[in-house]
Amino acid sequence: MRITQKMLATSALNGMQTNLRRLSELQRQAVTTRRVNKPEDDPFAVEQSLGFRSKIKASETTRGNIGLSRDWLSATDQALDHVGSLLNRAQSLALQGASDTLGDEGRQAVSVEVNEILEEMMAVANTRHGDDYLFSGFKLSTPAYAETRDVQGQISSIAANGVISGQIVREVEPGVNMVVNVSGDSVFPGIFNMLINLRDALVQTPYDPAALETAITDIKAGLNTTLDVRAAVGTKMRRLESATARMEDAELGMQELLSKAEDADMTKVITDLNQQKFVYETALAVNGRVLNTSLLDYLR
Amino acid sequence: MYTTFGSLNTALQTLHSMQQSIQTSSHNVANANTPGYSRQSTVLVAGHPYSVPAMNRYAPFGQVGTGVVVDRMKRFRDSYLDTQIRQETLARDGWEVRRDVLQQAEVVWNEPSETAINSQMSQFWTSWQNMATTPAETGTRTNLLADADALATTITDTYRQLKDLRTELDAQVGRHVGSINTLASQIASINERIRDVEGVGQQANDLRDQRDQLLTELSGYINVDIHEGESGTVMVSLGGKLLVMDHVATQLRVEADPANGTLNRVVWADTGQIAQVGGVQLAGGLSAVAPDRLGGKLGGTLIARDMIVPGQMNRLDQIANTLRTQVNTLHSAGFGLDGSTGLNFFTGTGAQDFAVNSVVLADTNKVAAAADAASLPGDGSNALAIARLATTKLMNGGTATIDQYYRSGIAELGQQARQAVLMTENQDLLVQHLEERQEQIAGVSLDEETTRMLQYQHTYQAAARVMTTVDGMIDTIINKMGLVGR
Repeated sequence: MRITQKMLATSALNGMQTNLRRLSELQRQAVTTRRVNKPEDDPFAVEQSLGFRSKIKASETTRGNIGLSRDWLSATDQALDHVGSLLNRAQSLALQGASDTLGDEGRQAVSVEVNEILEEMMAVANTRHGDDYLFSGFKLSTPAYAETRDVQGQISSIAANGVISGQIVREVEPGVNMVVNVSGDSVFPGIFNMLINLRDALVQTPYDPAALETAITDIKAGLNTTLDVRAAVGTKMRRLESATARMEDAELGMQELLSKAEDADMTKVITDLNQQKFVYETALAVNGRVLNTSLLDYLR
Repeated sequence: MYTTFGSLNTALQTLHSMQQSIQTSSHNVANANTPGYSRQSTVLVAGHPYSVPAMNRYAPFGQVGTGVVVDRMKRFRDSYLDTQIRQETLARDGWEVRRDVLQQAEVVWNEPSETAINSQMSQFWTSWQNMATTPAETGTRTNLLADADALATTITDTYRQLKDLRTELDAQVGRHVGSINTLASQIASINERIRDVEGVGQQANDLRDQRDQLLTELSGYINVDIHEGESGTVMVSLGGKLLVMDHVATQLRVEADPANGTLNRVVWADTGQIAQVGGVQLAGGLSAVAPDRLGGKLGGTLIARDMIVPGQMNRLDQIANTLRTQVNTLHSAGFGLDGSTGLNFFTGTGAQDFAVNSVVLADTNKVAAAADAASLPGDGSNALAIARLATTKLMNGGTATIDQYYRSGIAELGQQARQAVLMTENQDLLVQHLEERQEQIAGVSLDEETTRMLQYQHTYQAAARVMTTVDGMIDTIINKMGLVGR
């Protein structure tokens, strides 16, 4: 085989180019800390990493939205707690009013207190969470209930402010829906009527104990309804909490996979880099010696 | 019977032959780095011997030698290797164009990154999710419109860049055809000169080098068949039609192809027929076999222009069309905060003019998040339905979500680019290997030339010494003989 100077030069050039290319690729990985920067670096890994990014993003958003739903349910829970304590007070007032020792004046005073509870109950029914009314169904921007007052300014009746039965459905996990609101319809109408009846029965002439008995029974029923609704809300909150925890775990897992798909193994990169640098330096040294020799050096 | 002057002449011929050999070595050294140069050497043969004329031949004496002559100039080159180099160059240059285009496309798609379509798309879907959660809030609506607008802009922008890439490739088709024409003309003109030189029995070594170089260059553009004729000329044909014949080159030209969006097609200048290679016309509508049959810069450019880039543009069109029709169907059935309904969310006819409906874009209240006019403003179920399009298998006949379809496109692009990179590298190595083998035969070794020069120089010196010796002998005869007793 004939070897010419051009062959030596070409193979020196090619070798240096190959070495430099490898060196620059490793340098890029070391500097960016990423193994893949272009689809061609590893098509499968890029497809995966794009997928993980989208999924992580979607999961983070869903989690954020679950947080909002949980806040909403928590506000509902507080309002229902308030309803419960108001009903408890109403119950003890009714029992006090039903006592035979109380005269007309005493019952009058109790009636005033019941009226206050009614006013407060009305306020609770129109509770706002941020700018939104909690119990208005879809009508977030309008109060759930409106009252009618008589000439003395007392509430004579309370009615829903339009249709408030709308069920707000949200996605709480990919593909899973949940109704996150409690319509005022399922809690308040009976309570309002019962409070109005109780208030009026206490000042009714002639005094009718049977009306009070009915009111006491109704209050119990109202308490039970409220407890049931609140229990349902509590269950939903716990479900959201566990969903959040699950999604957080899944996100961590996906982050790890994402990193595996596109991040460089720095230990390996640095080791390879050192090795490649050594190879390149060796090539330079060898080329420097080989390319420098010629027969002409030895002729005269 | 020998003649004294005969020896002088022999020495003179030696001087001439050695001079010519040194001249050849000098030519070799001078062209040691000239691409395509083939080393030459003088072919030395002993001069015609003659029989000593005699009435009665005296057997022990044979013929008498008459020195050395340069028979011819030998050119060292393996033409079979050239044929192989051309084949592999054809493949390499074709892959190289495809590699470059695919890598440019990778830059256009710009994945993976936080600003490219994948990221914008997931932003778009999450905005709809947010919209489903807080449909009554203006902030949510403003964000959604901003994200949708960003997605639409990125899609149209990517499409426009792909289209620009295609236009640039089309311009390259014209430039490549121009180069082919120039090369064909040069080959034809060298053909003529070689025929003139070799017709009178000489070797046109340097002209052949030039022509071989041009033929290899031509093979880098498009598949051509090369045949050498009797008179030293080559015939070059393209798809069975002669591109170069003797000293005549038939030109190619480009013209607008009405069947391919007025992009360039390659036609013969003389007949106006569409040029073809292996049954594949160098025009629009390349068949699936084109990548296997077309090579070289022109072939690669046509494949990139009419197959690779349009494939990606089509993918983007599919995505834009599916997004538009699916989102619009749901959106127009829903209700905006102001009770508006029947509005399309996206407008356009493809990826080219994909945009958010300007009516919606101008008024956040027009985003139809609610499924019913009666359930305003708290209902986000229509927005939820739209958000769920993200996970609905809408593409490839219901086997992939839009995101998956997009991502598989990116993966496919990566595969193609990777393949093109590897193929280019492999072909390049093959060409390098073949060129090295040719270099072993045709390359100039400076050490070798130096050694030869020493050889020739010494022979030259010895021949000169012969002359001196003969001169001395003649001097002896003429000036010193017959002086006895003077």
